[in-house]
Amino acid sequence: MNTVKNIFVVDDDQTQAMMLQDYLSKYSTFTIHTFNSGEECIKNLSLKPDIIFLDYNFDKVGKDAMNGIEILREIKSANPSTEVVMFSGQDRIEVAVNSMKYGAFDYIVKNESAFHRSENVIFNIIKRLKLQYQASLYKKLTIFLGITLLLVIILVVVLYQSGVISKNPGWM
Amino acid sequence: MTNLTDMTFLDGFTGGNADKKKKYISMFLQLCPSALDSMKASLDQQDYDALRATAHSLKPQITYMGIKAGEPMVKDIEHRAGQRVEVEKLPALFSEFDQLCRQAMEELRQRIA
Repeated sequence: MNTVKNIFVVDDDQTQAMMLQDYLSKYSTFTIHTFNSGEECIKNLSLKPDIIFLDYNFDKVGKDAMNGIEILREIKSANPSTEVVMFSGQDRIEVAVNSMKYGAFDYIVKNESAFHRSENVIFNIIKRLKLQYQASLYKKLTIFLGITLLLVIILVVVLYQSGVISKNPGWM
Repeated sequence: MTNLTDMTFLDGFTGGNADKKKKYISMFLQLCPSALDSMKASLDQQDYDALRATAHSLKPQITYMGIKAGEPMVKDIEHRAGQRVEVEKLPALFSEFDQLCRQAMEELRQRIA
């Protein structure tokens, strides 16, 4: 996988979720699903989202609702390759640090620049996925060339030992 | 009269699409009164955690609707309620914020009329 197709927006604020969905829907290649709680998001992880924009607070859902960090940990444990971007109204450094500690790709504060930042984050993730894909191709190519070289060396040794080739070939 | 709402963000966000702008303003007009009522009830019951939570969820919408004067107020309410800082000042602060939001909502209604 070297691109982004499936995006989840998880926010108990329906306006916020709709605004982000509308903003990202200008890219027709993305399929965007919105969920109003972390529990709903986790139930739908089988859809294999590439990126999840996850709210930090779910106070509207109820006092027992999972918070952003708990949801983040569940997501990363079930689906480690999914990139999670925390989205929150809090510009508190400890929230950002905690999010990154548990594997979030980035942390975005809900303000006027949040939508533009979300778009940039998606492009950064795509760039990183492409680099990872290229690195994996180079690794496979290196292994293939290494094995080929080893086989050639073994062949030369075998041919040499069986006398098919010698140190002083007749044409020299 | 000075405008209480600044549409710069919403105009840019919607790319000048009047229908989209109307949709977001209508959503705010639907959400804001119940949020204000909920904040008032939390304040009356001295349920500061609930007050903080509602203020927190309303904060981005206040920003998107360009209610500039409301931004520091809602942040202050969230902070005081969350940290229990000089909570005795919350009723006056909320009253001012409530009045501002109701005036701003009236202005927004006129914008989409």
